[in-house]
Amino acid sequence: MAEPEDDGKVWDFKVWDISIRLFHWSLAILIFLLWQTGENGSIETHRQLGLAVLGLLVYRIYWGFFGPKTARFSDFPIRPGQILRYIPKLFKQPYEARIGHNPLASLSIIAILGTLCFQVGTGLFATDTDGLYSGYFGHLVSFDMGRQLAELHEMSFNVISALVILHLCAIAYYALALATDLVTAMVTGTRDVDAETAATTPQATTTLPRIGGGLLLGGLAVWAVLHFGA
Amino acid sequence: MKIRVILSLCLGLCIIACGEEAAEPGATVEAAVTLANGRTVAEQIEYRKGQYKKLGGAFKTISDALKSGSPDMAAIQAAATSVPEVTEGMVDWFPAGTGPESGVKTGASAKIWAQPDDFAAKVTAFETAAANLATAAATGDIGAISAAFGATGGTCKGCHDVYKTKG
Repeated sequence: MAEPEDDGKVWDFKVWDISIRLFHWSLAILIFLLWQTGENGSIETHRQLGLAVLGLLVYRIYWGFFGPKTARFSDFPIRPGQILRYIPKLFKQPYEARIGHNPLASLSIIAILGTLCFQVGTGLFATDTDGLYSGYFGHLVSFDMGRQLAELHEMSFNVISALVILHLCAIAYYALALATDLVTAMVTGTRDVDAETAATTPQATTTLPRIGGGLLLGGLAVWAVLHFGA
Repeated sequence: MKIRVILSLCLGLCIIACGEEAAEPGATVEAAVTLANGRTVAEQIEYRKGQYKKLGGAFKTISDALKSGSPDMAAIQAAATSVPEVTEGMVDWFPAGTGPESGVKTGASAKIWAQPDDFAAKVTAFETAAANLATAAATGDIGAISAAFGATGGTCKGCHDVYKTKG
């Protein structure tokens, strides 16, 4: 545990482990590329990138149970009382960021992960308008079903876009209205924490075997789709 | 709690989906106009959508079969034979008045009627490719079928890039 500096804060306190940061930024890039390839009809690339998202989602869900405290779903403060008590803090300075996800961020993560699971699920079975290209499991459903899933896939992308925009607006709000920079910690993994909190909170450290377990599961999901799909 | 959030999200999506469906049948004056072939504009649009769905189904059958390790030749042949039948007279599926101006939901771009000669040429290119596909399917040669299928798919895309909108 690092000693407090002169300002009474522990600098470089680890809040996001390396794998959750890699997950975050890979997902951001993949969503952008999937949007582009989806719009311009590069279906083969779109399929492969979508498969990468499947791997990431499996990893993140695993990490929600086996990752460090800040990554765990059990650490999400989403009981109604916790949410209600949090909201007034959004309008008061100084804002003191919790170590880990705040209640609204937790809801946002659940919504994003849930919608992305839906998106990957529909994409795996979707068919294009000409019946020329399908998701890896498209051959298991009829053309009509594949088309309906493709339409759901397209509609739920609107939900994803809305969630991404909300996410970006939230980051801007924390930066501008609450003088709280959330981006740097998602890059470096660390931020300043007051000595008292630092003494009672574990840092977001992890071990290679734990990460390996998630990589194995994510890889297994991708392998299974490639092996059993077409 | 988490599950409830995910469930309500899915439900929300379903509601959006149903909303889209309910808005589909056009109720405009133009939609009820009777065409020379005896169908109303709305019926004509529905008819051609139905034919394109059958075409898509046939294409998916061939595409699925070609991707599988052991292609079902009988299924490929049946689907390939059905393509020229299902698409018979395609150029006439688009009489004047059945475009987006009808108010009926359609993916047919107004460009079809603005550039009728080019549109007809693209339909002919498809018909030629589809005939070749049926011939290739009859030989049972997977390589020839794959090539002919790719060429036919290319003519779908070639036309859709210009003349199909999201609708």
